[in-house]
Amino acid sequence: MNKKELQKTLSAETIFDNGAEPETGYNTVCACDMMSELLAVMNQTRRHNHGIILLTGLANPQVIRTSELVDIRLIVLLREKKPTAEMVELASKCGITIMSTPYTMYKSCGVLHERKLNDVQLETGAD
Amino acid sequence: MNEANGSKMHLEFPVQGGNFSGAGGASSSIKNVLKQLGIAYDTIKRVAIASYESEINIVAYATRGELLVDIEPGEIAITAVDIGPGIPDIEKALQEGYSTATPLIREMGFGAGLGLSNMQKAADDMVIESVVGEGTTVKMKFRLS
Repeated sequence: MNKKELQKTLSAETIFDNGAEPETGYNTVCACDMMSELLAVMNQTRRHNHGIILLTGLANPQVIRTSELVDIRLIVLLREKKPTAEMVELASKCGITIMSTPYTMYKSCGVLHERKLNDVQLETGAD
Repeated sequence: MNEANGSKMHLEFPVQGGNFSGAGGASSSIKNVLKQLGIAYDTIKRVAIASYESEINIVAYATRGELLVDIEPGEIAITAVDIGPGIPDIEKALQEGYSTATPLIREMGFGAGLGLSNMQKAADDMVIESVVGEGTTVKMKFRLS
């Protein structure tokens, strides 16, 4: 899935576009509000994360910083949350796209699952 | 201060307690250095996760501290040193879910009681030394394959 398709699927608005698409397209979803939980999940993966979409209800600069550190390049803020100017500036420096969707976490996960996007593959093999 | 001596490199990054908006900046710099050195992706990710959690801990709990990075053939060491309240019960602090985080820390997306546990899982070796009322030192090592 590319960004345009994602935007349509989630009825989302693109706040900042990093101007790039991963070679794989966006094929994986991680839905998370706690950044430590996101780090714990990413620590269990051994693949490059450029094709991961982060769905989160948290709108603060640490979302951008955490994504940068684990190589996530696309963040979707839920329930029409908008990033602060500080977040957009940091996202611009880090090359991270930010979208905002009116959908809840549950609905966002549902429509992306319907479009055959994957869960994060954990090294333990748990699913 | 950055020092390069042959194939060894030493880096120091100061971290200010309470500076939530700048939290993660040191870890981002460390990650960029490792990328420039051509370190393997998986190792960079593990170091980035551990150094970031360390940095967040210093920002959230300590007065001030620093991240020390030592890169040698075969190994990367990250040492997080802080001046702060210290950890009264290290074993308890390592338990997933145990947290003394303030509401402000939770608002930042942390304080779920996963920080030290994440650091321990990311590193190949981790040692915590802490003196209550003085501060904490966390030494982590990452083997290079």
